[in-house]
Amino acid sequence: MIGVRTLVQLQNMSIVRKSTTKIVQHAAFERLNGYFAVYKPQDVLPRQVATRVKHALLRDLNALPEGYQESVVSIVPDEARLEHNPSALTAVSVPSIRSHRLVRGPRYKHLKIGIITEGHDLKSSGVMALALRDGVKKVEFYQEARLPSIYTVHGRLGFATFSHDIEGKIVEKSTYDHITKPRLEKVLSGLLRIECIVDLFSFLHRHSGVNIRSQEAYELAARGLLQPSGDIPTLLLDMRCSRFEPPDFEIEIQCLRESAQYLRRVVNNIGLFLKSNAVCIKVRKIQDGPFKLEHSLIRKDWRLDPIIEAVRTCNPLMKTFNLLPLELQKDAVLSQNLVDSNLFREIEDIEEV
Amino acid sequence: MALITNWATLRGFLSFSTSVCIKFPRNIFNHQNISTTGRFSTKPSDMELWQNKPKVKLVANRHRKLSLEWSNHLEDMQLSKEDRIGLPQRSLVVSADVLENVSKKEDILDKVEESGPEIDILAEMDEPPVLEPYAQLPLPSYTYTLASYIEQSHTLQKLVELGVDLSKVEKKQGVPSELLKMDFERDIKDKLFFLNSVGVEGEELGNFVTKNPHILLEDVQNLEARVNYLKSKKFTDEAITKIVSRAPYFLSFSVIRVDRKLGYLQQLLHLKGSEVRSVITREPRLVTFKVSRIQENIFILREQLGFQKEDLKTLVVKEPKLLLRGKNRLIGMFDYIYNVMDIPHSVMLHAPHVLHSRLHKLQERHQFLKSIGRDNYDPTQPGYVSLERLTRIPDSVFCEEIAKTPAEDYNAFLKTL
Repeated sequence: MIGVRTLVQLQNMSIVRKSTTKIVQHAAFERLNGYFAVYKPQDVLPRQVATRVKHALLRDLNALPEGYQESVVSIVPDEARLEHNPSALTAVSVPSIRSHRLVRGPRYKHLKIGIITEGHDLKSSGVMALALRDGVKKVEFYQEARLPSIYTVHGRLGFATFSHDIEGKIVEKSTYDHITKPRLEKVLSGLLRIECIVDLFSFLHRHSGVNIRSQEAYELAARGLLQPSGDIPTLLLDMRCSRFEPPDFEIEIQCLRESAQYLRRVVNNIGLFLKSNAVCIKVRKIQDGPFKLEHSLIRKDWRLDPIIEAVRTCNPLMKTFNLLPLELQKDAVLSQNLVDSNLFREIEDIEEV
Repeated sequence: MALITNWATLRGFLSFSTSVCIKFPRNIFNHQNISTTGRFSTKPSDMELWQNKPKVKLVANRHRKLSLEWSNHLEDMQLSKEDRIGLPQRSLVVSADVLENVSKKEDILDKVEESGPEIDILAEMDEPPVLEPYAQLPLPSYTYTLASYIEQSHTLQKLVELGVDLSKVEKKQGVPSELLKMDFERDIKDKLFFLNSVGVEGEELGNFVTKNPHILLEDVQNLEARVNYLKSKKFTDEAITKIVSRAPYFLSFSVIRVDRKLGYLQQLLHLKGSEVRSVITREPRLVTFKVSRIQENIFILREQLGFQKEDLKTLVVKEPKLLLRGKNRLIGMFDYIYNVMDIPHSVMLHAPHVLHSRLHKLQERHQFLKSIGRDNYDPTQPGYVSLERLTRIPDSVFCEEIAKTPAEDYNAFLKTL
């Protein structure tokens, strides 16, 4: 039994060792270019997460073998011609001791890292997308695209706090025996109607950037691309109760342009609409645009190898044209339509011939 | 008409159609007074050296006679502003009679060839004048890094061979300037021999000096006295090796200070001599840290966390690192263990290591055990989880031996927190 286990461990170790020794420093650094997602734990600020990932990456990068040795041209007395000409000099290329790792220090001291995901605060947890090096340029571009993110929010009925958080100071207590799951769902749909459905039409009218009664708007809506863009207020798109075990409940919220504290206030409002009180226990992001839970790296994977792997899998997610600003999206959709219709026409022509 | 050129343009000018090898009288180059080395030694600026190429002036005078001029003085040449950069010191005019009655360029060359011994300027030279000034460049008088001196300093090269990280050493205050004055054989060698005799060996020696380069500035007799003090206090040789390699700054403390600190620690917790020795051997940084940190942690353990005075001794003897833990982290750990995991002081006393682990690791593991119903830390009940092992072991062993679930389940659970 023990032998089998050690064998498996050895195999695992060998795989890891293989992958790290295979690549040299600059090759690994070249691969760290793009996007990936981490699972942000509670009680750590988003900025701290980014810093920790950065330091871990720099530590692992500098531990890798250096690919090439820098050399310098040094001028030395020419041994071969010494008898003929005592002051003869010659230039030779020698490995430079100045660029030795112990003299020069670690090669990589800075790494550009940016936070893509908005809305996290100290107490929230979940998917948090990060950008590395050239990816940092695209952060604003991504945030302008206003992709919806999905949260699971845990709440508890019966009391309310100042901060709408379970750790806050309790200001009010109430009973919750009258609350049932259908009632909760009713309130949720009502909230959604107030917040979203009634407003959505006018909301899109104001914020989508197209005339809502136009063919263009229809084309976009048919592809699910009709969405608000630019500087918009928070918008709840969908809410449903996934678990109800009083006093605890769990709701899944799909929203745009949110912050964790806004969702805690929503939970508080739900409590009030239910003629009781509710506080938020946990705010957990399970999807942010194209980044899902399975893409995110937990804390022990904040190392070079898993991150290189994650960058490779996550970079294609950001290439979808859904990320384009809305004006360009429209152009893309319409040009695609044009190409499609022309193609069909050509095919028809060919068939007629 | 006056034409001023450098070598390249002159060559182009003279041999515009024929591929003739251009040759000049040897005495132009080998004239003793035109010693290039002399010139360079007075004006060592790199930029000037690079631009200092001899200038040649081909002059047709009023009487329509051509003359070739090679000059050093700006006044002689009367150059335009762009060409007035760096010229040799001597002026030498190829006599006009050599070039008399010459109409074609080829004829110039023929006349010049006839006039004496020659050299080929396109051929390789035995003594390229440009290389000499680069052979020994002056050292910078002020620099931000020891790398500027590494090529000249035998001492620094030896240290790098030992594995000392100069990029870290140069950041320590006062060390780099002292290090440059030292000679490896004279000042450093005996200290390294001494450290080796104490038990710091091989690659550790480089790490040791990287962490504490001040040891190189100490006297060997002082170092010996400090080790002898430890021996007089009945520390074994292995213990001394452990102490020195775990706390490189230990040997930088004077005998009086070390004695005072050991005495303080003994009085504070009423330790026996053997207990002091084991505590110091396990955590020698108790001596090199500030006393205020130890005082503060003792206060926190007693007044804020509620340990009894007798319990403090068992805590410290079992886990001396606790006295150096950060204040907020210590309180945070205790808060979680006592209030969330419901573990009383008496159980914590048996496993004080748990107070020194990482909070997030403990939280994750406790919540996982709670979710699968194994969070039983009471040693009197069957199937209990040892607090001592809970945070010390890696995740794979934790999943296998304590949680008894596949590691994938644990990883998936971590994504639901």
